[in-house]
Amino acid sequence: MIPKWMCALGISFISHMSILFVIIVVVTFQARDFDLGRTLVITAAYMAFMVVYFAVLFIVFKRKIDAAK
Amino acid sequence: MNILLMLASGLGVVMLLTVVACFVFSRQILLRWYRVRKAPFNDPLHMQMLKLAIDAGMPAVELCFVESPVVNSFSVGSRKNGSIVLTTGAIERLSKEELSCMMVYEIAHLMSGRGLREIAVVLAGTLTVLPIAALWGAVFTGFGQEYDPAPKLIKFFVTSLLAPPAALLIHITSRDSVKYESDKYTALLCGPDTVIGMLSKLSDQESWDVNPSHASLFIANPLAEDEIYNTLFRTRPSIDDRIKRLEEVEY
Repeated sequence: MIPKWMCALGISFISHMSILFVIIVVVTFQARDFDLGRTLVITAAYMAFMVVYFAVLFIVFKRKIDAAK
Repeated sequence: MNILLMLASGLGVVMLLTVVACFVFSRQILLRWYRVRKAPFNDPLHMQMLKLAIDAGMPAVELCFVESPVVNSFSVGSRKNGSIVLTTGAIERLSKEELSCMMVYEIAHLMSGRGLREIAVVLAGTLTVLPIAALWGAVFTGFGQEYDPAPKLIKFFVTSLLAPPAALLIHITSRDSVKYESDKYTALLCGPDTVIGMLSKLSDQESWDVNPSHASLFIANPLAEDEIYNTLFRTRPSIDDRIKRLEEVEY
């Protein structure tokens, strides 16, 4: 059974992915052209940041919330 | 590009001012948040609290009350300038000895120092208020029809974005040692049986819908555990675990 805080983090991750989608749409509309290279660079940079961010969240919550049980 | 730079610097200045305001006024902000009322000076509980505070070397602590049927309490401020807040539910349902216990617990909390905890609580509290602002923003911008799920969905979406950083702020500024130390200090002064009695009354009650970021301030977690994002703000051990630890210690 997955703990509730992990589900919460999973949902947050999906929400952050929807922000990435909005960023790509805005950039594409602003440039009036879909550039795969540019989109990949944006996605890679955003995903790298998100992975680090969620890794930090996961480590801190695992230590603190599990200890508070 | 210039507009972006101006926006970023404006945002930076606002954030800096917010942090400074939280640092200076965190105690006042939290007391106003819960619309507490100060206890009259001649109130017997206030006299009792003053006696306990003077014994602990903190003569400047004030006692306040907050309207809530739930048995709970919290303290804000520092050793020099602290406030202990009791719920009206606690005053009605706890015995005199248990109330004394609750105040000793809060005094022990104030003695451990304010640190960054309170500032983090106010900052995180501001973040966790934004989903409610988003909900009302949605209601007033055309999503307010009956049975329209959009406002709640928008609130959930904003919560999913802002709850994790708010909870992170709370967790990195909370100290694990304080949780049990205050219980032990209270048990030493009031006796373990009275503390266990008080803690038992804290466990069998309804939840209190406070700002999730403020949950770490309270003597017992006031939040409902069935809300998925409330679990991120759990900083205190369960009441059962606290009772078990108190039973294990020899006095």
